[in-house]
Amino acid sequence: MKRFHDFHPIVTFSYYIGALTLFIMLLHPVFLAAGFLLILAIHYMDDRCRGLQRWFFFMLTTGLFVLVLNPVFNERGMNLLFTVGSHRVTLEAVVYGGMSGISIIGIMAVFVSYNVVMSPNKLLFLFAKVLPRFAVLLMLTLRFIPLMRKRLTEIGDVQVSKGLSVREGTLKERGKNAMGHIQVLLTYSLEEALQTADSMKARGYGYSGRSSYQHFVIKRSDIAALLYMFVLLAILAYGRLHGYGWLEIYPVMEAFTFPRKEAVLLAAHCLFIGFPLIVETGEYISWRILN
Amino acid sequence: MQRRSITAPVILIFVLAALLIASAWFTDHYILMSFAVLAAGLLFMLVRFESRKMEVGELVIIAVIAAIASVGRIPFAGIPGAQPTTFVIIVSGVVFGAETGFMVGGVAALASNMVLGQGPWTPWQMAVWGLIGIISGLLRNRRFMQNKWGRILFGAVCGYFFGAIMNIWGLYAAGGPAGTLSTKMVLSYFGASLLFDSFHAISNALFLLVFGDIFIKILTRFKGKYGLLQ
Repeated sequence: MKRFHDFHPIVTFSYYIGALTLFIMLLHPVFLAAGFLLILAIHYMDDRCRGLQRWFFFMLTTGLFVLVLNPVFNERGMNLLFTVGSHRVTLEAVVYGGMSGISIIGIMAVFVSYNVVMSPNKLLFLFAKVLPRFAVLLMLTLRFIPLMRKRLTEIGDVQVSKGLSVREGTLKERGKNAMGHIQVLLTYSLEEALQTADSMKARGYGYSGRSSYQHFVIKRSDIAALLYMFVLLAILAYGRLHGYGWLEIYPVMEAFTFPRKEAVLLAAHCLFIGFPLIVETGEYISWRILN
Repeated sequence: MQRRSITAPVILIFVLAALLIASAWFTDHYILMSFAVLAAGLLFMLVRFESRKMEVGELVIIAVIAAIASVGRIPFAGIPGAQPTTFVIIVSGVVFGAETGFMVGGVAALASNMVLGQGPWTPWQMAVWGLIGIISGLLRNRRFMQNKWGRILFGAVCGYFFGAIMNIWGLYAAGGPAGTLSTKMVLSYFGASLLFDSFHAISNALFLLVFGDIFIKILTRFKGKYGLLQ
């Protein structure tokens, strides 16, 4: 998904925020199923669902858990499916559980895709616009995480040469040695931190009036994409406020009809969630034609 | 400490009041409302952090401590509960105060999730770890927090506190507003998480018992030596 990755971070970020909101707001079986299938298609197009596989088990168990939880604890509803002992299992509870389940799985799938497309670099770029100091803090922390790991192995090597290992000896000895490691890491890193700070100061961190290199530039296609998403979201918000894209379950489950206005809304929903797919297919076609 | 403007707190109160009124209206959207409340609270703290006068060294030290908290989390990611993150946050709150405690907690959650994978749980973790930092910072001058066993007890309580807040998000995700959240369901959900929360509480207590004093000593010494984050 080269083209979608190349959009300005504000575009990709808005897409993910919008997609999450849609999965939370439009609790309607058809909308949820369509949205979920589109997200799966996006994952397939992106990396043949490889990123999703890591989360597959977690997503499946969470979805099933939510699906089962509702009928188990909720006896409300008029359409009785069956009874277990004195426990009523109603159609309402099952439908509600199913919708919550797909909603939560869909949200997770959106996040998995987010983790692939929105690299920390892009998020930091967005933060730096609004919260510059927080962005620096986050960037420093992200840089220190691998540094700490490296230092911890270094410290371990030195300590082993002194005969202090965390792998040998009794549990008490190992615990004591591990404590020594962490202690060294803490003092070592704190002292080093001040050097980092001095070097930052020497390079002029915090002086106003300095400009910085902008890696991401807003292009015309980014503005077009933002407009596209904004219009679709406006249509969806309008429809949702008028009661479409939402299956009423309590107090009385509405009859399962699908009026034409709802179909229009579904189209807008699919166009929004499927935005990366549209971009990719468009690029694919133009590539074929140009060649 | 410089005087703070009251604009931000006033805006926060207005936003929360507006959300409260909106939640009476849109009774269907627990999870969306809860995210809005989280966003308001986190943004408030971040804006406060931005407007505070600060040395570069202080910034880097917060980053170092947050990185140590995050690094501790990553190897333990498979074991629910047992992780030194909460312990590091409590200690930094005790030594450096509430605001630094919050920043360490929030940044550790966000940064470690950039390695482990972001999810809908990220803002909740930021909020709960930030809160633990704030609370330990606010209570640091109380007598029981000066005492080692008092801190250990506090750490254990924090384990359950963390679990309780994270359960709320799980409940909002699982049961909806439409009457599904019965007392029975809430109780069984909390009951199910009790084991993991106990692991967390025990590991916090153990970390505070073994590492607590020396960590506090090192950080306090550092604070005094360079006059940072007073």
